[in-house]
Amino acid sequence: MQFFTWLQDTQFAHWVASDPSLLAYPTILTLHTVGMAIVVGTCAVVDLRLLGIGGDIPLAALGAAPRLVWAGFLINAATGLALFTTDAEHKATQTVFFVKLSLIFLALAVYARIRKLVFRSPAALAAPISSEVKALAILSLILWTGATVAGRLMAYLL
Amino acid sequence: MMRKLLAGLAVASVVAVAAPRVALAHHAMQAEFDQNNVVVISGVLKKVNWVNPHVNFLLDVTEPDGKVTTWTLVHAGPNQLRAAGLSDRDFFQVGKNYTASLALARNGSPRGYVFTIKTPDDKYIYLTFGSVGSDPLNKDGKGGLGNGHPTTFQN
Amino acid sequence: MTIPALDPFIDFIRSTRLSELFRNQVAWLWPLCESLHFVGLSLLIGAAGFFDLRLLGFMKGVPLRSAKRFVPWAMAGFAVNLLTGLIFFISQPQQYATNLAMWLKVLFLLVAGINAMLFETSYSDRLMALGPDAEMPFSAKVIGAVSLIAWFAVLYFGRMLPYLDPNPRSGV
Repeated sequence: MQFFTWLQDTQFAHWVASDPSLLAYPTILTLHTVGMAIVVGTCAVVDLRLLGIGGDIPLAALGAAPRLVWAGFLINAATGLALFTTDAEHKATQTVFFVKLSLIFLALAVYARIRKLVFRSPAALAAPISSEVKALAILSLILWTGATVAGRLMAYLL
Repeated sequence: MMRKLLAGLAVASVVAVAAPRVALAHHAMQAEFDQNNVVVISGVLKKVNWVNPHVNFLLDVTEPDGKVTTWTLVHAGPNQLRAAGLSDRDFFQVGKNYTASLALARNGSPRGYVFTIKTPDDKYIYLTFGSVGSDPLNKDGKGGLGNGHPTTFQN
Repeated sequence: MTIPALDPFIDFIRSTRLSELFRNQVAWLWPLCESLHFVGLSLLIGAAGFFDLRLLGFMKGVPLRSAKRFVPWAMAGFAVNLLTGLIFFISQPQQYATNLAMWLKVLFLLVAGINAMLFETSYSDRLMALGPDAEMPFSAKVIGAVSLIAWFAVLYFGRMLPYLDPNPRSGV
């Protein structure tokens, strides 16, 4: 806990939380939303395609998806850390924050599994989409929705 | 715990119950704070956290039994309060006595959304848009931030 | 911004029973609507973004007609956000009506909408007729770029609502 108190009192944390510039808190917060839209949006499209939307779109066309997810994740890891420092003591014990992180972790794990099952080889890409993959796609949509909601509820739940 | 807190405040507070609702201008505040449960507390200003997303004031309130509870008074973002002219570093004086009316947090913690602040030199700062009636420190519904600047009055 | 001419409009909206219902009866309405708004925007940006990227020339081999299958999903996301957005506005019109960030958000919503209509009326048929491996013409790329930029601008100004135009009256 002492570490989190110290973190909250660093110059960086103070800058993020209190600097009047729009480039501080407001921009960091907005970039966090951008990253979320990229990660969740990309995964949603992949999931919907696996569930049959735009069924004649070759799966190979979604090859760039991992790069988008990775880019969005990096943006959010960085902005997320910055936001965390401003309220470290509180967030370190905030239940809904840990729920959010867990859901993100699970969603990424599901995504990794989908990639392994579907995107690992031309043969896998050409194969019909199994019911296991479809179930994973549904799970992915649920987990990302959950993570998004948990993130928003951080402003309301202690 | 909650009952003890309220009992401790009964000496110095007026609780408005069925009065016309105070307008909680801030959307999200209704989810966390109960605008029908407004109390008045007095204490020593311990700290001003001029932070995003919400500026908050820490007030050390001494209860009748001598116990000191730190209350958190929450309001808008630093940019809003800066635009209202409240951002001067020396405006709020740590260590001095302040009285404030606040809508209590629904979860029973010593926390509230602040409506009106009475300063050590008896000036009133009306912080909330459209306060009417159920703010014990602002019974006449004197215009607050709705006019663009917080209104300060002598008594 | 201060726009005194809008005060009667703001006061009128606040005086409606719907506004009071939203504000006072359901403490959890706001967090719920915000959550839906964020989910909606993710779906919108993902699905519309996918179509826009195809228009920009990425993902060659995907027929434009197939990519367009995602547009109804983008519209669903938009519909959720329009509904929740209206709830926000009706509950607390003073937070938005004179807020510069809101005006800019609406501006870019109009840009996105007009751009989409332009595509539908003047370019869709021609572009749909192209083969899946064909090079996208410049017009398609412009439409795709404008759409992508506009939707991200909508997101940006939406998130900046509490920060860009700090107006004490907005009470944000």
